[in-house]
Amino acid sequence: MKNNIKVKRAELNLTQQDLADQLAVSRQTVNAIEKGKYDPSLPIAFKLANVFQCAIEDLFQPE
Amino acid sequence: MQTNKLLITAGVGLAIIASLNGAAIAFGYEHAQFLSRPWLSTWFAGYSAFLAIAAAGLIRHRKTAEASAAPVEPKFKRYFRRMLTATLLYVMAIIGSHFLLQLTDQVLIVAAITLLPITPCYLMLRAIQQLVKEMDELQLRIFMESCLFALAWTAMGCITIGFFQFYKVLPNFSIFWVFSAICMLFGIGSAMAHRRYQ
Repeated sequence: MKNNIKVKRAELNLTQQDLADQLAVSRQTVNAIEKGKYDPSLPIAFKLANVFQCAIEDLFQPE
Repeated sequence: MQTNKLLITAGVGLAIIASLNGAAIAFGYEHAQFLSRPWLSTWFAGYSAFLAIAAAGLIRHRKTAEASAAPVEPKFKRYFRRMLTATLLYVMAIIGSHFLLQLTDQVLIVAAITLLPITPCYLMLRAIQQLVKEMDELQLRIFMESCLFALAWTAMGCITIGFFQFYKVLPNFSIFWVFSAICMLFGIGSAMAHRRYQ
């Protein structure tokens, strides 16, 4: 899966640590998701969509 | 950074010395004892190797700018505190039991004293369990991959050595090295899994 979380995060002027705190995960997890090294579970995908106020499909696209 | 490099060097050095010593004792060199018992030596080897690999992983992790700015998570602070306490208690129990065992030869008392270091081992297990409960999904995945790596390669090592021993290529020796091997392979697996998700 590819995603545009890094762009969305920059738009909100959040650091990886800020986003990690909001998702209740580690900064390493946010970093791995942003780089496409790790596909998150549905609960985290929903949390991400909630933080960025968009649909999950707007964040993640199949490669 | 310099302190971390020193820790790695010390850890690797101690691991090599203790591994060589453990191997020498396992193969019957009675005079090669660096520590008083082979199992203490092999445990020491595995644990120091694990620490060295963990420190190496930490240095790699800290190299990225954002990681340097990120604070150490409280759960890891708690884990290190619990593990350090348990390790200190373990070392004290090992040394204490070593001296106490020289005072008696009654089987039941010897058995009780021999089990003395098991209590701190339980505290170590509790520390790991508590950390695992607090891990997020990626950390848990890395942990599981590291465990599987350690399990698979320890099993491979055991069966390979077992075949060698069966056909008398290698002599029979103590199995205390298995725990050290698991610790060391877990450290290697953990470093590889962290690298995969970086």
